[in-house]
Amino acid sequence: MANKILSYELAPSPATIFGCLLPAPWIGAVAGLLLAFGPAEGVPNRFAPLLLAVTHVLALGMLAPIMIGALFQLFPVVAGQAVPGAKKISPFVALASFGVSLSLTFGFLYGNRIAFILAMLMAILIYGAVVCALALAAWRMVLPTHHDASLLTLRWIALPLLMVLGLGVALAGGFAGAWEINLTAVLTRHVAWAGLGWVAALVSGIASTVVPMFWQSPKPSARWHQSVPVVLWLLLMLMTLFDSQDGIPYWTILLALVVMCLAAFAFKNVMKAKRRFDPAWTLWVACVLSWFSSAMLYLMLAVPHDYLPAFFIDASPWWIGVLGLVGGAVFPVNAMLGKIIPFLVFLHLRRQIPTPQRIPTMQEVILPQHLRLQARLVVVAFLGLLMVPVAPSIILPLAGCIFAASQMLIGALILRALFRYRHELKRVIFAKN
Amino acid sequence: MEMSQAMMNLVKQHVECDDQLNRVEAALHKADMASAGRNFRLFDEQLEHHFHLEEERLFPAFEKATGMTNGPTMVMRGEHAEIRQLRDQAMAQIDSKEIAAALATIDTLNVLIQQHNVKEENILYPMCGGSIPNLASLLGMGGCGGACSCAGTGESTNAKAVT
Repeated sequence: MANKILSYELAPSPATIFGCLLPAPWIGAVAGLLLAFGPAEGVPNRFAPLLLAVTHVLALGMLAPIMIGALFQLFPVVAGQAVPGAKKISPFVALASFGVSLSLTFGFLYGNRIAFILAMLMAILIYGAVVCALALAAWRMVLPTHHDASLLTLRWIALPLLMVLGLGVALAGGFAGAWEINLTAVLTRHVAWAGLGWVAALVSGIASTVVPMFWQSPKPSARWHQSVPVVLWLLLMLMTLFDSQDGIPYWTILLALVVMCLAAFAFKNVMKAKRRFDPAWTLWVACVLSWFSSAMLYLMLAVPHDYLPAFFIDASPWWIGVLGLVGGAVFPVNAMLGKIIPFLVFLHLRRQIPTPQRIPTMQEVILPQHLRLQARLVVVAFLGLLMVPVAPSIILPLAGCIFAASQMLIGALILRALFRYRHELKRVIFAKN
Repeated sequence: MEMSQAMMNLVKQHVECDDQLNRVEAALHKADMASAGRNFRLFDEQLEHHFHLEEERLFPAFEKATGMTNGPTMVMRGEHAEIRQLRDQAMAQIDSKEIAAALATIDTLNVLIQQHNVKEENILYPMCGGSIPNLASLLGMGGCGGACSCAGTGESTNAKAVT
């Protein structure tokens, strides 16, 4: 083990990572098409069956495999600790995640109890295995004495995933009639842990390393590294234990204030990035603004808000969802895919092709102009989705289609990168023979 | 244990190299090839100064203290070779005024350097700090012995650090 510290040998094989990442954008495209052409009754109400279905297709089918795949890669690269069982689990992550989201879609759209039970069982199996693997890797990793947000994220990330899974299973079981639960209380906690405990914590923790790395923004301060994302998890735990559904949700309000502060600090750093010419930099700016705005909207609704127009109050939950899920999660995931995939191709080619031989650079693997087009498409889709409450029947199909196109494009770019990888390997193998 | 002054100086050298490479990119974006070439040579000097400090002082001391000669230092030396190879590629492209190709190579070079730095700063330097006694004086950084980043980045500094 000692001689493998920091080594490429620890990094998972391309198949392990590509297996998680490759299908994900296509599932994102499915979410867009579902939004465009699904039964739109009740939209933009957050409890409209279509929106519950699309949210899970996006969060589980698309985002979860990418985030889990990224963790399998980051553990060895950043923490020097491979995730045990990653090779065995990864082939099933994308497939099972899609299966869970598909079952939930049937459950929500058709009120199918068996679909909820099936989703519950699949989720326990796949995410249970992921939680165990991540917890074991976290247990084995050695933390340096100085605080680092990315390493702290890796250390504790199994916990929020376990919370999201546990609360999600409780909800699915409740919908299936397997047991009775306080639906509002569990749902609030499930959404909070999924949105902030899992997505925001992972994005902020990992971005603390990758944004300075890829976009050369200033490195976050020591105070940031000491508090992110632990402060989110602590407040979520307090909110889970102490916030009541009847009174003022003090801990949730504090949580929203903290998210606004973190987003403001992040915005300051992202704006100082030296590589602002990079196609995906805009997505990071939009991401931090989205987190800030969604937390601010939540705060406006959480305190007495009689002064707000009725349209604003009705549309805010939709806006919070779009800002959090598309702006806060899809944007950074798209931005990172555009960097991490070409880098992985470069890294693994470099591992297999001796140093004097030239290998394609990252920009030859995925062209910057293609990434710029993809970033523009997803931003247009995002703006369209924000405008849905104005005229749902007209804007929803349009925005859904543009979103689907943006995810198909990143999916195609990843496929092209994979073909380039195989092509370069073949070229070297045939040259040897 | 807090990060020692010597380790912080090594991290500072990383940042200085990043800044210098960024100046090269800025010049290339303006198609100012003279400035790009000049700044790239400065970057090359800073990079070599830092690599020599690690390869000739830090890594041998770590290997002596831990007995790990085939461990992280071997991996880091391998990555230095890869970084040097991309640096040479970028240098050749700048010299032959291939702006787009140079920018593409520097983009990858930047990421390669950054992921290398993350590994050093998160894993190797803390390991060195915990296992090498008198790290600062070994690196010539005790009381600014001439090798620290505050001493500048010219050839004279490199000569002091290497010899």
